[in-house]
Amino acid sequence: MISPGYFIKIALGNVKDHWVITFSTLVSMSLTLMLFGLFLLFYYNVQGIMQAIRADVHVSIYLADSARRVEEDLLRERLTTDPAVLSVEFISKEAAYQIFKKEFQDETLIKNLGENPLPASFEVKMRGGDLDPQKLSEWVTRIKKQVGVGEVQYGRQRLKDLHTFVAILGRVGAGIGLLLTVTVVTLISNTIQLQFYHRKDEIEMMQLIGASRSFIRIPFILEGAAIGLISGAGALLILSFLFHIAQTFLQWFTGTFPLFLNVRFLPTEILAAVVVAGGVLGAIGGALSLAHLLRPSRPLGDM
Amino acid sequence: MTSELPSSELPSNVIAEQGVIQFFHLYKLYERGRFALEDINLKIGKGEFVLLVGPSGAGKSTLLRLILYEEIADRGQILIDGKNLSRLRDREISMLRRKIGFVFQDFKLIGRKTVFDNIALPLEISGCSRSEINRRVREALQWVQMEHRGNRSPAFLSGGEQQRVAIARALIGRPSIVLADEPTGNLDELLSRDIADLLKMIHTMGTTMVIATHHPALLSTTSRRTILLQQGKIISDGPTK
Repeated sequence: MISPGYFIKIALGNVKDHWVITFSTLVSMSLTLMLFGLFLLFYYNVQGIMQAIRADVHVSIYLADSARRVEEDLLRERLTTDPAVLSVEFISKEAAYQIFKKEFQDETLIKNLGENPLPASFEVKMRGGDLDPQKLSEWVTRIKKQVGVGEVQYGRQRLKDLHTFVAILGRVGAGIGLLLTVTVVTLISNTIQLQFYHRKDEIEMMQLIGASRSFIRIPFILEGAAIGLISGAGALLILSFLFHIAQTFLQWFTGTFPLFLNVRFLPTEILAAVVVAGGVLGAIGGALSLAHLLRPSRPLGDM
Repeated sequence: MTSELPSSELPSNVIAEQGVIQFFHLYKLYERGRFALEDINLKIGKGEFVLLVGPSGAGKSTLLRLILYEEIADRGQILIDGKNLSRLRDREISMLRRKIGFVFQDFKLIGRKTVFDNIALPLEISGCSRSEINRRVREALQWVQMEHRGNRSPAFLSGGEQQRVAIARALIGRPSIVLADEPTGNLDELLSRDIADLLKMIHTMGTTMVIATHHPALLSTTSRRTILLQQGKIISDGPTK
């Protein structure tokens, strides 16, 4: 029985013996995985920005002039206990007038208004995330039917557009992601196959002296996995370096585009997934290249 | 093309003994329809020293490759130790190859491994312990008089030394059969005699030897059987002298 340690030793020995070609494989695989990581980083942040925009949904519920105190209290109670609502702020008729005066600071306009025409309102911040424009519209319709409610305003069109944009982005992102995944898998598999191809004679000789297919295959798979794991880690190092440069650069723009403040590096679970994916792809590449190079010990044919 | 060949049934005179090779109505075709081997019927007994001779393209190397199952026959049967090669599974073929030592004309050594590691390879494949590998490789190095070359890379050895290493690798698994394809083909006269002596010495251990050669040093071997192949056919099969 051959111990797993033997195969690990052989795999590491192979890496050492072919360090030049291993190094070039590492570089190409790291760059390929880095491109994939770059896509993930971009997609992750765009999703984050979209979430932030969607989370910023405000609804203004204006009370009718005829609304009584009890109706106002009932509405407040309903809003504060509604799970779709994140926060509620009451702006009285007088407070609304003060805000108006402060914002416009136009004496003529304020004079022409005469008596305070502004209604009291509830400024409601909705829970964002998966907020569906259709559901919000239904919610607003229900609120409008509440006694004491005059008018309800929210960025309906903006939310609808945003929802459509996010849906398109999701589909386009999934498409690009799929294409990129296929490209990365193909590139890595080919790179690993090239790494092993020059050992064709060695593999053939091993078979002729009685090495089983698994005996030959296991070190290659381990070697592919090791190269893949190291490449995955290398890709993240490069990506992290580029990200920090880009982040410094983006900070100059945060005054104009505050959303850039939300740009974040990939979370730990995605980072781990990239490294593991590198290892798995390397192992698959190793197995595939061996499938090409290993002839069946027992050739098929009519004998 | 295969269907045009005469059918062959496995006869009853199968010998299930270690080191015995049998061919029954064996045919091997080249791509252009020419026979590499045609209706080969042969029994090589345990401990025999068989020389395959004949001009280039006579089918000597093909015959050896068929025994090693590196190639497959288009018709006919090959039995080794009484086992029909065509009936063996992948793993059984690997196990069988461990019982056969093969010496290649071009040595087929792994350049990045030391002489010691090259020789140790068949034992590693068989799953031997490290201490046994060390002991047996040292022993094999002594057989081929390469005790002081164990840590060298094959690239720094002469052709004769490389062939000695290849022979040590072929012998380390204590095979019952040793096949050699022009083992002196790449060597000068002096080294060729050296290798020939080594192969003769291995034969004295009771190993079945099948050697494709036209080297006089081997042809002068006493107690040999010489099979002359020409255009894929056995022209003569000289009895053991």
